[in-house]
Amino acid sequence: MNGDTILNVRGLTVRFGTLVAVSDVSFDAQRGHITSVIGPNGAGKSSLFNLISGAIRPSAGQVLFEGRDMTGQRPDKMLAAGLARSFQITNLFFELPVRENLRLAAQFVENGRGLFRGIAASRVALARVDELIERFALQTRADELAGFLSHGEQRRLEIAVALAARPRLLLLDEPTQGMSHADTQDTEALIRSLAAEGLSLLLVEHDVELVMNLSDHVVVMHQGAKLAEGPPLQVRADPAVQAAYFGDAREASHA
Amino acid sequence: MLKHVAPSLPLAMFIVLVSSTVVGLLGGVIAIRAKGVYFALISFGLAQVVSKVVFNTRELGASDGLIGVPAPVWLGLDTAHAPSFFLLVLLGMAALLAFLLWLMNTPFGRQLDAIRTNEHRLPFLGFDPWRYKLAVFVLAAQVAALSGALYPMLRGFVSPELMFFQVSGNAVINVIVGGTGTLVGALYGSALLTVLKSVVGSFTAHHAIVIGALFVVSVIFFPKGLVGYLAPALQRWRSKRA
Repeated sequence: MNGDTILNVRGLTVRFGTLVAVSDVSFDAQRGHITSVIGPNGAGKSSLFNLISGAIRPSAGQVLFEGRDMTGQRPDKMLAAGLARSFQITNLFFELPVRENLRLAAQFVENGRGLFRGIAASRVALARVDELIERFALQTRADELAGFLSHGEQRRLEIAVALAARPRLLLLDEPTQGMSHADTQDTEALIRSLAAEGLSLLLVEHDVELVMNLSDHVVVMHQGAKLAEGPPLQVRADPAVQAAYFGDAREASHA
Repeated sequence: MLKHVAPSLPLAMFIVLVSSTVVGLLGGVIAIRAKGVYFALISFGLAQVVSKVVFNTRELGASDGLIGVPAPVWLGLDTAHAPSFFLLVLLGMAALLAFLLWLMNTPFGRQLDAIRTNEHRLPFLGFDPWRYKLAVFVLAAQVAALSGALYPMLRGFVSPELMFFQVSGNAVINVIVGGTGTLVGALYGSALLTVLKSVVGSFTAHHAIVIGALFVVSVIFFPKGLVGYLAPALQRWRSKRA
């Protein structure tokens, strides 16, 4: 299945009043690949993510997932189609235990069965929860409230929750946001292993080194528009990209 | 309605259930468009509308209320007889509580808890919160209607005052004082306030002032209500003794 396009973004545009947050952005993401969107703050990366995941409706343009037109569909429809996302600002059920966060997220794999039976009847979902707890090394924290986890653990749980419904395309919004160096390395390894299993990934990341190491394809945004796209090395060598982005980012990553 | 079909209690309750489902669906579609305080305001607003309609409809008793509701007899329980009526209410409440406790431990019930905690994440997990909110609004209407339908059985009279804001306001105060987000909270709140009303009421006719003050105090100092405050305290006390 590798090699075909899983996501086509065509001329995607969103206006908030007079502000054009995303302006005529087009790119494709290939199945089984890691595609990344980078750009300075305010470049429109988060809005682009919100458009693709159904959180906001585009003013113009199209989103095609696996060839199906999903433009303007609500997030629950996107997830049902096989597209899941994580959030830059951790967006969990903080007052509920870690296990319950995962159980809620995994309940989708039951296909609506067992909605009015005891929790124990949702065997597929519960098996998925156990799998995720082990994979994300949350065994000792499983019965803790999500709000009591450390920042790094919450970021890990954020990805686990997004992954629970077994999506085919996973959108990760700044997965290493605020993480320690060690946690960032773990996350990098995790993303690699997910891609190795055939999952397609779309990343928004601030950490340019991480993006360059991980990605098969990089889309650079600047002031709401697409500035460049291509393989990491090609994008990095692009003079326009260097002028708009890498100058500032180098300074930032040394800070 | 009860008046015409009684004294068959199961049939009366079935009709109550059907009509409250219809009313709950209509009210729910309107009310769940809003959130938080606005949701509460719209719900109360809808209740006021219904209250005015009843007050101005001769067939529904208008300002006189409904007189002469016959007391149904069911399985040997004569509802006009206070002890057996008490037993009936107790059984009904226990059955409702058991049902709701069970429901809250199904994936459906847990979704409701998740909506309370973080509604915004649910769509991204493949669920449409709107459906769950509508379903629980209807369920709440059914529970309220079943409870309300028990009311006239003892005295055979439905006072028009039951439609007033005080009644729905009291229900909300009961829940908030008892503890929101729990099922037993509403029971403790109701028990406390009912006892308080009759105790304070024996000294002064202005017991609403005391209830109001208690409500304000509990909102400011015990935002999680009696249960939310006492349950953790009890746990601490227990673990200290262990």
